[in-house]
Amino acid sequence: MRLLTVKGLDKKFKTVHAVKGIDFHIEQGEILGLLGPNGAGKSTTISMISTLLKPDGGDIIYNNESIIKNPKAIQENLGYVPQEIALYPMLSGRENLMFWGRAYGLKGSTLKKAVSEVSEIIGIDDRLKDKVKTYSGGMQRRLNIGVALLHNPELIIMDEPTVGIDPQSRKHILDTVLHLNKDKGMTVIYTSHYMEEVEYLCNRICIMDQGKIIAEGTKDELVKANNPKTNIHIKIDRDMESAIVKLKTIESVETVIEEEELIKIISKQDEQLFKNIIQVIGELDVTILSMDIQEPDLESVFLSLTGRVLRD
Amino acid sequence: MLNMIRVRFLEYKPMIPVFISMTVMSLILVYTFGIGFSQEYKPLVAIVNEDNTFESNRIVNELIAMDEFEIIEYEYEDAINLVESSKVIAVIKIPKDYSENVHNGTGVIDFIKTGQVMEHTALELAVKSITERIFGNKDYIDGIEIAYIMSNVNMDREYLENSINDYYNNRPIMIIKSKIYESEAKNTYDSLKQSFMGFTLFFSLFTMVFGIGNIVDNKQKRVWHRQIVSPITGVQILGSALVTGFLIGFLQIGTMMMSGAYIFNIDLGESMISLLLVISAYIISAMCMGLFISGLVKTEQQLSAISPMIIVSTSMLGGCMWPLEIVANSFIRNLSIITPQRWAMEGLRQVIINRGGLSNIVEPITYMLILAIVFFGLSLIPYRKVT
Repeated sequence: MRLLTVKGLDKKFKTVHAVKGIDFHIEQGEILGLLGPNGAGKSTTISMISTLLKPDGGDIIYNNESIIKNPKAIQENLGYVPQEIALYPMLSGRENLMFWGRAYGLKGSTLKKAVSEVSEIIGIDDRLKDKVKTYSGGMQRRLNIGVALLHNPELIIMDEPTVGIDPQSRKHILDTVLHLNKDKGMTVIYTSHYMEEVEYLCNRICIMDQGKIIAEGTKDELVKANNPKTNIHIKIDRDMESAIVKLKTIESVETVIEEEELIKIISKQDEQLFKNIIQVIGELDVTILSMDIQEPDLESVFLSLTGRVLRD
Repeated sequence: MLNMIRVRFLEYKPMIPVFISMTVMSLILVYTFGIGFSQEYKPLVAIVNEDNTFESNRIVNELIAMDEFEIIEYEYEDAINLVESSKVIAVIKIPKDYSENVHNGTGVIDFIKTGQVMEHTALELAVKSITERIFGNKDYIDGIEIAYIMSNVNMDREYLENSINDYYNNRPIMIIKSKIYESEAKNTYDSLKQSFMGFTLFFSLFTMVFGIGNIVDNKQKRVWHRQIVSPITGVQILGSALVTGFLIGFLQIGTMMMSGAYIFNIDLGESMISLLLVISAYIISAMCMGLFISGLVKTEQQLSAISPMIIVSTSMLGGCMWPLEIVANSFIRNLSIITPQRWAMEGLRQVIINRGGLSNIVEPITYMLILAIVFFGLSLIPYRKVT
């Protein structure tokens, strides 16, 4: 079931055209990743979906209703996790959770139960009485997510929720997102410029650059559709020149060079590539000392699409 | 709404020491002015008696005996020097032949003053009252009655009263001719009560800006953004700031006023309800002005830079520093109507100085509430603007 559809969404800030008429959708129960470098338009896009910003053009349909015309249609069912730590630092974790819970209409035992559940999910139940300003960066990030979960929202929007935190907290956050999606059935829009996070979490990915969606699909679909190269580094004990000549005869191989005692192969995607390389090298009287295969990933997809690396 | 108000109070909690110190600092000012009041401040007035008759001497003696003023007899030249240098608030001159002229309806007492202060009205009324009594019908009738009794002559008092009243009906027994003495020092005198009211309003604004600072802080920390994408409405977000700011401001001004009244014997007038209403309307309108300002700034640094400028300039414009009556420029006087301070000063003046009641504060309160509605409406326009 289609939960949200974005049609021709457009936003300008004075001289900057931040989002240029993009279209995408999200199905219920999906985790959709918005991947792109800083300034790609991801935050502006989710700010418009969360009703924080009004678009200059296009529409956003949530459950068959335009949220441009009626922002309330999404607000009560939305959990919004901004990039910044949007909490009251002078208040305790419990006071923050109680406030945001009440803001979404929870009260009494329902509120207490929600606070208890959420604090357990985000792993801060032992620090609830402490002021937020005394929390570590990772704990603040987790609480930042927690306050968006209290009302059990249908859709969660997370804007780069792991920026600037330690690996342990990051892992906890990523596992929390998966838990919310799989066990609670929440639909998630997740923006990041960390390719590995999006690969780990998302069912479907929209790659954004300069205000446009330049590719969309599952990771495998993106890799296949954009034909990025496979890099293989081989180290053999001798006769590298003969090996290079032989490797160049493989149809999918584009480039073979010798560099720092390694044979570096750049090839098109080819399911038979590894088998062919073993076969060709095996015809020579040499021993393979090591082989490093770098499968195409989203980074290489982005490179292939834009000519730039993702984290530029 | 209650949820928002609760969180705003929780936000205020860490600032309680600062709030207390600001109130104490303001109280020190109240104390400074309170000393002036508790020592029975009496404005100095010079009196010049050129008539030197039985009646004029009686006027002078009765004026000197008054508690409200410190009235000293001077020669004309000396008195003018004093008023010119603002050492007295006015000169009362009883000219030669005044007593005689009273009887033919041309008696004039000169009232020479610098600028305009609240005590002038009270002084004029006092002079008028004493003069009327001395030259009044009752004195004459009493005197005649005594003379008749001593001569064992029967007298019809009613007939005598009617006859004398008819005689004096078209002959005013006393005229006060006021003239403002033009001098360079004419605006230098200011009333202590005016300062007390003005500084109370002025300093309370800084506490109110504290509340506005919370809103700007919320914006900087993006809590504001989170609120506006939640079901919380703009009226709830801004209204909660208004309610908490009102209660904090009321507590502060109330503390200052009550300290002034009960510790330093400052007379706050006769109508406590009127006083509370004026203070309430002032806080509401000032808070709404603050909410409007909060929509114009993005950071606390910007607020810190802009707020003293706005507080000081609107307080000056609104008459907290000096009476608006002495401002010669009509444009500035007209501009002051957009400041809550101007109407608060007007309301406080009616209650504290003129000892007025509810009927005297309708206009200032109405203006303050209009300003509050306008500023609150304007503050709702940019509340959704985010960066």
